[in-house]
Amino acid sequence: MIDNRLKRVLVVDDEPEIGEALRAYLEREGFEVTGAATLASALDAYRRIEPDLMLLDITLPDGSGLDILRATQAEGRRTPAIMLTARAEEVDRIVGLELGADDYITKPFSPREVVARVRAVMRRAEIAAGAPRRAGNAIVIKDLEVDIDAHEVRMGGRNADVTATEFRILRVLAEHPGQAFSRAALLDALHDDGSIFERTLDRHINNLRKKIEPDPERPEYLHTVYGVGYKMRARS
Amino acid sequence: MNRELLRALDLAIARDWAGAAAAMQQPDDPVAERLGGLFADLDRQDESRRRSTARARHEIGNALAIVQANLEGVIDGVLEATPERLASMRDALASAGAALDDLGRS
Repeated sequence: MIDNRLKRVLVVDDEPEIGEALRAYLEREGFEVTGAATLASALDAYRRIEPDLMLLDITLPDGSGLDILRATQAEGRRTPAIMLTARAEEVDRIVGLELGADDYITKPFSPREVVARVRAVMRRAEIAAGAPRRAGNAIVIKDLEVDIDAHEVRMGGRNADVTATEFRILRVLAEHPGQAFSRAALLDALHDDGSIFERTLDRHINNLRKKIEPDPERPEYLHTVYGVGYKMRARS
Repeated sequence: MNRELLRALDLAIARDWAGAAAAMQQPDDPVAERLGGLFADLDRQDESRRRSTARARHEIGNALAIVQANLEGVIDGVLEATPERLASMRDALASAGAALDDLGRS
């Protein structure tokens, strides 16, 4: 199942009643939502929040949702996007121009359907871009190798000698590179029986850093996300 | 003349009014000139109707999107049925009705 924690969605629609409804549904599903009603404010919000996905209405008072796609792509960014349109003929333009929109939804729509599409596009994007490389049944992230079958962790080919608990923590983080976990979310993902507490999690992370990080004071793999928890570095 | 006329009529049958008008650009031929004018006029009307339909589709689609998204939100317990929200749904339906009226007149 996709984890929506801290995933940011930029919703661009000049009808505030539509934007508000989409925001309510997406927030209920755990997404962090930023709204914009114009091309200018959408580009401003895009640069500020760097969303994981955009919902873009095509017809905006000062331009087009397609302009947002073009502008972000011109900046060398590839953010998954779902286009919203009330005009059937615009669908042909979206498809024909091959602007890199991942999906489109025609108005009127069910907000539940929009949430389902958002999840599907995010899942596809994660699989395409962020999924960890697996060698055999090992997860490989740069020089770090988490060998699921052997229950071993290797850094630069050398065994890191982690404990069973450290292995479980590292495995969850390595399976979701780049994704921030709160301490509570991490414990949930570990399906822990209560033997690990939020306060002891920090100690396990520190021990892991000593074992796998080239410089534990300046972690390259196990990053602290201030105010949230931890995340594994992205794959690339 | 007959060949050009047949070609223009074929294009007109295919509703390519602009093409038909272009095929009728025969200098010093009053019949071709009148037919060309007629096809050009039909082309303008067709374009105008297309624009009206697209505009109405946009208005009605947006209005129904407002109503559907907000009604579903209230039913699902995601949004509250405040008087303001109900009023905005009523307004959206009214604008959809107005767009339908415009469409009927165009």
